[in-house]
Amino acid sequence: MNNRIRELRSQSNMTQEQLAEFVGVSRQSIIAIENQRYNPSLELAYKISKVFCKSIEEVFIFDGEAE
Amino acid sequence: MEFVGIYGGLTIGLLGWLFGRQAAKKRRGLDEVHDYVWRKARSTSWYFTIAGIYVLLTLELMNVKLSLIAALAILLFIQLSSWGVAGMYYSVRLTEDAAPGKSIWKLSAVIGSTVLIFFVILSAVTGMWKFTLAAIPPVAVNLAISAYIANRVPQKDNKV
Repeated sequence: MNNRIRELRSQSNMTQEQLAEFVGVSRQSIIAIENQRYNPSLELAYKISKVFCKSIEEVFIFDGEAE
Repeated sequence: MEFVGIYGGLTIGLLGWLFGRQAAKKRRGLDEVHDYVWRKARSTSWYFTIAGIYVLLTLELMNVKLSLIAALAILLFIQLSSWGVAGMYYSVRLTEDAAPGKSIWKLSAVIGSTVLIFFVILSAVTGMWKFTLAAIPPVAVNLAISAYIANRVPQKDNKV
C-alpha cells in the first residue's frame, strides 16, 4: 500500500510529531506508515486523511501488484 | 533465597512493565503499531519456546536429566526473553527512520552485551568460569542474525 503522507505533510508544513498528535499515535507509528512498513487500520487511515482534508483513496494508493 | 529470586524477579518485571507502559502512554506509544509489534513478538516467542522444548527433549534422550522445575524455568526464560528481544527487534525494524540497518547494529550490541554480562555474573556467582564460554554461541548467533538483517532490503506492508 503506497501513500502520500510525506508529500501532503510537507505541503502543509506539518512535522511527523504534529501529525502523530493530531491522530493520537506515536511519531514512530507515523514513520512506519510513511515508509510503507506498516498498513494502518481503516480507522487510523481515515483519521490521517481527515487531517489533510482528503479522502482515503487520495492519501492511500492500493498497489495490487505489490500485494 | 529461592523465594527472593522467583518473587523478586516477578515484582521487578511487573514494575518494569508497568513503568514502561506509563512512559509509552505519555508519548501516545500504546497505539495500534505497538499492539501489532508486541502481538507479532509473542507469536515469534512461541517458535523459540517450541525449539527450546525440542532441545530439552533431545537432552532427555541423551540422558541429561533435568528436574521439572529447572526445565520449566528454562522454558519460561526462553519465552520471556525471546518475546522481549523480538519485540525490540520488530519495533526498531518497523520504525527506524533513516539508514536502515544502523539501528539493528545498536540493538545487536545491547543484546550481545546483556547476554555477556548475564553469563559473566552467572560465572561469578557459581564460581564456574566455564559459564562465560557459554556466552559465545548466543553472542555469535546474535552477530550472525544482525549481519543478515542489516544486509537485507527493508520489507514493506506490515511484514517486519
